[in-house]
Amino acid sequence: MIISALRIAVHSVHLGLLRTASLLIPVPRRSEWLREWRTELWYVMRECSSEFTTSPRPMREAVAFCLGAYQDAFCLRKRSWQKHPPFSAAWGGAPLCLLVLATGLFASWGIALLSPGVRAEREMSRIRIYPWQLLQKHSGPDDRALNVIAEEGVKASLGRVQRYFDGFAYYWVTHEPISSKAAPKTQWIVAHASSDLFAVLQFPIRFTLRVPEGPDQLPRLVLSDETWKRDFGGDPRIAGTEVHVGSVNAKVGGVACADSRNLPGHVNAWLVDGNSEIGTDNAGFVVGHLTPYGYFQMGPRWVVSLLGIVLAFLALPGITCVAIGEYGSDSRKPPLTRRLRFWAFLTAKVSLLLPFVYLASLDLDCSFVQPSSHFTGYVQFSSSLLLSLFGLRWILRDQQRRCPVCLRRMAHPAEIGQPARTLLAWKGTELVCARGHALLHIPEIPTSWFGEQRWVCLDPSWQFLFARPGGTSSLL
Amino acid sequence: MATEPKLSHTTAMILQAIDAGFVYGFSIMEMTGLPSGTVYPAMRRLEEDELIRSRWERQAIADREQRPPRKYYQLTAGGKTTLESSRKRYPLLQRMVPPAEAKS
Repeated sequence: MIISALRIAVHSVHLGLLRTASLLIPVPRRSEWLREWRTELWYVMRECSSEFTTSPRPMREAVAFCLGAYQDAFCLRKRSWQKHPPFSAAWGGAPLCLLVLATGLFASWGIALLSPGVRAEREMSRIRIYPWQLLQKHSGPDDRALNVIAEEGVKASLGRVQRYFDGFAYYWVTHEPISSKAAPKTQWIVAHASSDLFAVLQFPIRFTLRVPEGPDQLPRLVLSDETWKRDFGGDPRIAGTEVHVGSVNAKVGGVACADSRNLPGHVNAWLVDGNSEIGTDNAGFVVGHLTPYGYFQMGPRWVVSLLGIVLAFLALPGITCVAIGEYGSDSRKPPLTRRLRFWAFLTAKVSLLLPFVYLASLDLDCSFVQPSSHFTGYVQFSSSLLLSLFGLRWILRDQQRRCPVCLRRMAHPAEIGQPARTLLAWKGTELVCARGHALLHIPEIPTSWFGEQRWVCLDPSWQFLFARPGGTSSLL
Repeated sequence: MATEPKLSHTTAMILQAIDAGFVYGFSIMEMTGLPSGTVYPAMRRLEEDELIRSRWERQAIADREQRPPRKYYQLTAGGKTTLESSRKRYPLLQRMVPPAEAKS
């Protein structure tokens, strides 16, 4: 019982091997090929059956016999491909061209997904870090370390990507008595700030007072939006008002925007003084400005690529003939639907090329240039320009060599005419559609009556002379 | 005039085996000691070159003997000519593969 079950199982394995091998055989020959191998296997098994229960050797021999079927199948498949090359019907066709472009597009997209530089940039573009989100707190004379004050998301993104600071400012906070003609005596929390604080923070200041810089000039006082409304009644003529802050006189230089309340310290005003030094006894804050990440000076990434592509379109007539061609005067034109398909094919190619150019140039830029480098974007721009220029040139030249009816590449070039007889007949190259739809005449020496390439659409009666559908030309 | 194909020793041995009366794949394997992965592809090439031809055994004969029908191979006229020239090229061929009756 066990032996017979084992026999069935082993036989099933053998048949499975043969059936798998048969998948390599061209379909018309497959059934006969499988029949022969199954028959031969029967004889092999009969020879081995006497030894089946006593030794594993027969089973190994039977398996070796079945594995030989793979060699046979490979040989047959190889010869079949030699006679009928695979994809010969698709070769030169429009779908293959679009497939090649789509493959390039997906490959560049895949690289962009995997590239550490592009991934980091994508993450950074999601989290925008404002200067007031990144501060370092100095707690006093005994504090040698600067503690970074930042939101968790900001900290996490900074941990993943190396970025650089391109500007620092600081302020330290004190309580100061305030007196002014325009407001009652009071006490404010005043931040003594370095002169570039608002430039680093990139906060706009309203009612700016243009105070000339100089050692004899009074320091500027920038009020918070809240204090300006509370103590000065929101007076728009506040700029220039003199205010006594602690022991110094200052002039109101403007009002900070409402975003200033996000800054730690909850200050009422910032005393901006070029001579101000960070206080050793007071808590201070250092504000850092990060370099832009992945942004070219001219704008975001897509703008850089777009610029390259536009320039490529403008430069294209300089490197290739942009005329697609015309129909011969004695030739009939293909139907309107065919002509629309011809232009739709060109549009599809360009539509696939442009995102490819963007992604490929982004990949190149992120691979070869440090994100915070001054060269960020230049590689992208130049690669966008070159890729789109040569890509468009290839697309145009490919389109010029396509049959306007079936969109296959024109084939079998033949030299026509003689240079000495250009007055009587044209001299150039003639190509023919492998399916007999049209001829393409490309003049080598352009004349006033034959300057651009011409298609001559053939009558359907010609087609019996040409290739069978899906095959190569039988005539030429 | 078409040139005669020059066969390798292995292919000539398979051709000799068929001529000697070993007319189906498994018997050729047994006679020559060659593995299935060598014998069958070689026979396909010989058949494509029209040196041998194949035919299936009649179902009735196979049924009578309670076995599946075999695919038999035999030499064509071109195959016989090629075998003759191969025998001159490989003198030991006939001694390596004696006729089937002689073996039995």
